Amino acid sequence: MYTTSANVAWLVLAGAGTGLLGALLGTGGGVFLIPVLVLGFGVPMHHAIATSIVSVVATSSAVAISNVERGTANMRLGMTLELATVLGAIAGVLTSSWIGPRFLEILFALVLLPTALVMWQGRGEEELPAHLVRNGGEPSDLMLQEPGLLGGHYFDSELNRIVYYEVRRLEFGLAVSFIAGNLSGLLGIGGGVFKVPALHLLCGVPMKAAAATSNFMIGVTAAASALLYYGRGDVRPVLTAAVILGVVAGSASGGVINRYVRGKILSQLFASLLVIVAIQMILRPLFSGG
Amino acid sequence: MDTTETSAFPSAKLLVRTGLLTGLIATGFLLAVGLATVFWKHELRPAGPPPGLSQLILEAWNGEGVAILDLGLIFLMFTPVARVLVLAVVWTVHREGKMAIIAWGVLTLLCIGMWLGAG
Repeated sequence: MYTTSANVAWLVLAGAGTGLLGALLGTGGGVFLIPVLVLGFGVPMHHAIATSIVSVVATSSAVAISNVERGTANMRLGMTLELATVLGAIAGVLTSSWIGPRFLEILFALVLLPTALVMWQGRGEEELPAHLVRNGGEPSDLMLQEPGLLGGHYFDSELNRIVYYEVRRLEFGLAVSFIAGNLSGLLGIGGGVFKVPALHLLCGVPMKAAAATSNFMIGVTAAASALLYYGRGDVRPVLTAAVILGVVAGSASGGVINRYVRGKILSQLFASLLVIVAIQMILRPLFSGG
Repeated sequence: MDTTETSAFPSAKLLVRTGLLTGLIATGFLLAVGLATVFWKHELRPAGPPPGLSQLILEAWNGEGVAILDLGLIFLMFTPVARVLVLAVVWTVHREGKMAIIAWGVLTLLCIGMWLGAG
């Protein structure tokens, strides 16, 4: 069985790998963990989803510690969008009994592919949203103005300066956050694959702040879903504990490495992630035995 | 002036970091001890919903590894909820009305979700 002492070490290593990726890419890492557990360890799908959503809580909490310290996680924006993600997660759980998850998975995959293309081509060359940089890459006047209730700032070690930003088109962020929360409740993922591009492309939040804020929010969204899975008995304690110990170690390492990763690389890594997730979502019905 | 530089922010930042760190350390400790105990005693639990919290605490007190793991997982799942509570209290104390209302709203939604899940 998958929770014997012989393969617990491998489960810890698998958790570490997915935690590292999740931290670097601004997601909970669940999109990688589920196929690893199902294909690599033979874990039943519903236990893999439950393990994934609990590990997402661990990843988010671990990475949030360093992101809050550095100021890249915008707590005000995150809390505001959590209204939508938690509402979405509750709606997802309530509707999960009558909406076929396979239909949503395929729809999800179809939405992700063009999003990946936009991410790779459209913003890959920019460290910051266009409205924050004027010719020559110097700070614009906007950076010295009132960023609003939800705006923020952080020190970017790559640019060697403080980056100020305001939040634009919050309504789009709220709408996408609701969808992300809904999918989290239905599919056991964190939903960062939706929130990070939305915050960056639609709301004008710099990529690093978008990734950090998304990760900050994911913990609360995942906790809402995880408690439900736990109550149903889908969270297997030994399996989940082994994976989480690895996930926390991996995501803590990712939080440190993330300081030295350029925004362009992060965007392209994220675009690659979207393609991987799309393929996973299309193949998932095959993994779950039809 | 940047609103994130108001007086509430430094204390909120510190409390959130401390809360998350405490939750993760407690979780890590319980999971490590629980895993070691499970394999030391060769424990198994049949599939199905876990027992109630009071039963879990009793079993963990008696050194049952799976119960210790369950407590660790519960601790982990409530860590983000506690973070929302901390921010709600801090923003309320510092009279940041809009943010306090939003934080209490999130907490209310989480409680509704838990209640629906339990039902």
